[in-house]
Amino acid sequence: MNRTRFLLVEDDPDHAALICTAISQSGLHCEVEHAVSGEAALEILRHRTVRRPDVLLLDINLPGMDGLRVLEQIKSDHRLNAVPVVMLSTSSAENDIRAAHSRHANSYVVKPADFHEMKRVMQAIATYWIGVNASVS
Amino acid sequence: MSPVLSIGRFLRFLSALTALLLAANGAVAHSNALLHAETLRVVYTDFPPFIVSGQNGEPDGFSIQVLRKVAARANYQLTFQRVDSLPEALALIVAGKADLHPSLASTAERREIVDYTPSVHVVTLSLYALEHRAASFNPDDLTGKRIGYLKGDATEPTAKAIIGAVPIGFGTEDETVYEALVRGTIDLGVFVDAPMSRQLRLMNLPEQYTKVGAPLRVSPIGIAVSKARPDVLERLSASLQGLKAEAAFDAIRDRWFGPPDSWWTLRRVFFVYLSGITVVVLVSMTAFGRLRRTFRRGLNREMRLRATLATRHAAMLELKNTQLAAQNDEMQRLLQAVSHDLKSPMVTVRGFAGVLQDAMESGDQDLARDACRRIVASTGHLSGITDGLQEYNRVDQKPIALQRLDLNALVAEAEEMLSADIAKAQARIVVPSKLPHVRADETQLLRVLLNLILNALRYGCPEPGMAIEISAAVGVDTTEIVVRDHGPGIPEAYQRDVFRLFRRLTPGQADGTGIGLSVVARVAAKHGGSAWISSPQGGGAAVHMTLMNNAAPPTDDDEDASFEEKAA
Repeated sequence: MNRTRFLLVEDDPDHAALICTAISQSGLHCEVEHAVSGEAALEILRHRTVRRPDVLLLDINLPGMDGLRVLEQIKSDHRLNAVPVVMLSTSSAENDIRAAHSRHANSYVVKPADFHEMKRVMQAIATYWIGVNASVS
Repeated sequence: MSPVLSIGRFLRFLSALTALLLAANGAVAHSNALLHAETLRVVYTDFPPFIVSGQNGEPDGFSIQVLRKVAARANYQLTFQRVDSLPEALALIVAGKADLHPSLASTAERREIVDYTPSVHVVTLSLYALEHRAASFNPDDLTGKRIGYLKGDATEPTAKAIIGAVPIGFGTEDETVYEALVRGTIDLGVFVDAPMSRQLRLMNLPEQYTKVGAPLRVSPIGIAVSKARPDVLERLSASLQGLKAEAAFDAIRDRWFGPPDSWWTLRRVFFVYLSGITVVVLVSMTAFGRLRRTFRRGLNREMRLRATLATRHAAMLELKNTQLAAQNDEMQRLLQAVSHDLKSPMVTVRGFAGVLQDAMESGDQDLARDACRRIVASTGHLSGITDGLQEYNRVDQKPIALQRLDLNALVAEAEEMLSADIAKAQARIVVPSKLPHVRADETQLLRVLLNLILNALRYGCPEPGMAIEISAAVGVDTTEIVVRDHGPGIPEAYQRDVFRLFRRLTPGQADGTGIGLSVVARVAAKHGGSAWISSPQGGGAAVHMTLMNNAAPPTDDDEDASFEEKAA
């Protein structure tokens, strides 16, 4: 079975470390790749031919091109829009949620402060997408 | 006794006696006059209400009353005799059997009896004769003379009674008699007492005519008086004048005919009052109008003043509102930034606290250690944020106290305060040319310099031995201070972003809360200037800050000042 490959786009190293830890400790067989900017992420998506990411975990707050712009870019590109994008944010504001959804984000997750909660969320995401991927492929 | 003395004494006695006799004579004469008033024989006819036959042969009436008064004043005694007609009365007068007939004073005419023209009932008998015939004419001898008068006229019976004359004929004008006289048909003409104008005309006779004279003369009061008593007219006239002067005549008249026409008085009073009121009204209207105009002008001026004040006040309020709105926005942004930027480290701290718990359970020491490290770092970051917030607030809230400062001294002070950091980065501060004086708040400007130098040290001096240049240029309105490093610089895309509160280019790396530049921007704003970043030639980053040269900038620092001060 192929391991689900996460592409985590997060500039805050602590948050990145937290999410990676959560994923690895969730008991799933996942791989996590970490990009620190939207540009780097797009680069990977567009030009990587092997070990392409299965799921994108995209932080809204990015330096330079922010998360929403990256989302737009992905979803408007017919070659890329199949990749599920899960938005990550510290904000639970309705505006932000609506902004993400209007740009066709697949999901919007508010970064849980509780670690165990975070593990569960990551589990859920991974499980879901594994399932999806399984059915697709 | 000496003969001279005795003569003198005798002479004196004589003169005294003469004087006494003269005085006595005078007294006697006077008392004679007093004792012996003259008698006037009055003949009268009935003519109410002027002449009314009384009960006991004594007449009454207005004319009688007047006559009595006038006569008494003129020292006359009166006897009365009644006859049936005026001509009879007049005949008696002419015959010398009576002295006067009290005539009429018409109430329809004016009260001034002096101007009164005798009515047609009073006859003025004026006899006229041609001069050449008059030479031998004795007016007292009328026998055989042809006397003409208007037939059917009031003069007819009188003329007949007096003269037994020949009637001329009919005519309505005295001119008929006048013409007869001129033609020579008659010797004498008897004229009815015509209106004054006619009398005057008749008196302006051509030379061939002379007014001969008349047995009767008519006094101004209309008394027909015999010419045989010439003194009567004068005395009575004088008496009448006196009577009028005493208003006694008016009293008699009022008694007989009532007081003057009340209607006339009423009218006069009414008219006087009306005109008085009209005048008063007009005057008051004018005055009032003027008053109102003045008042209104004053009112208008006041209103305009108030309007001006109100407008200005409104403008002040508007300004204040704008300022408050701006302040509000700033505070909103602050709150937003704070809540936003606090979340990140919170997530880290809580998250890794959870990781730590798991690591403790599972005994994963490395993981535990890593988690602890991150927790400590993040809490440090958190307190850095709160500190930065405090600092920002301090800068924001404190009103600026402007002073003339020497930038060189200030830079030197900042350099000294950061000497340790500078040494650690192995950098150096360079001031290429002498810095000018500026007008600024000392504490805040120092803070700015510290922040800028620290930033430069942290982000602009990656290698040892690098320089941080500080320069300043004085412009027309503002002075620009530049702190420049030769480090990696800041990409243009982020150059504005960087001033936002808590914004850091590289979070997690290097010390710093991201507040430094926002403080710089705030201080600049409070000094009427602004702050920005540029990428100068030769690499690195330059932070620019401007301050106004002179007066205090129009910022919300003036919120303590009153409106009036501001408006002044």
